[in-house]
Amino acid sequence: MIGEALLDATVSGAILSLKIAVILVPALVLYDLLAPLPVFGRCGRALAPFLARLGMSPPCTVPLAAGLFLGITYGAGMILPIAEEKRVGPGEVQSLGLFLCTCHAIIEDTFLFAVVGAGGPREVAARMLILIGVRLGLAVAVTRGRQVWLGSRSLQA
Amino acid sequence: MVGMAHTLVIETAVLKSAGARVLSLLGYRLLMAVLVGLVASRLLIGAAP
Repeated sequence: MIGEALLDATVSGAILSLKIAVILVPALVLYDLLAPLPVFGRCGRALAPFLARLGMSPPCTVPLAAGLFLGITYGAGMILPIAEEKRVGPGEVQSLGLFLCTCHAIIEDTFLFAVVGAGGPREVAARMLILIGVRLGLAVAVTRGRQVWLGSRSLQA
Repeated sequence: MVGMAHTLVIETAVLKSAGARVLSLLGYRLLMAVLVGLVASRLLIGAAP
């Protein structure tokens, strides 16, 4: 009984690791190829005022987008290089983590939760809109709140 | 609730590798999951019988 459970867990773990590797490796290669393109720099600069309010700088754009659309696990290929390249500070990584903890994989996760017990495509769409709105709103509010709190603490010091 | 806190082991490991302080993030996620779950269930589903 226990042996069977262990074997099942090992096989499931190995399959999950393979699935992650299948997505992660091409994502890492793609990131290395695309990151130097000027379009990402332009996107980062355009989003800079919004990101600054959340305690992040333009280099956080790609990992933020990867986490938001792919999720933290599958977006790891683009989230981890920012730590290795040391282009952003620990405070920014914390803000990024806080935002992504609250809201990530907005397409996949939201669809999975919205489709459970839904009556039809309209109900799924309505549920998805509500869920995306709640998660995004909460992520922005919490990350911005952290910035305001940190700002007030540094003013007091 | 599960929308906020799922795949905790893998996602926490990724964030730790990225350099985030994961214990505070983990605590925040669990607390927020319970809070959001409670509020959303009351608002969108209704109070428990």
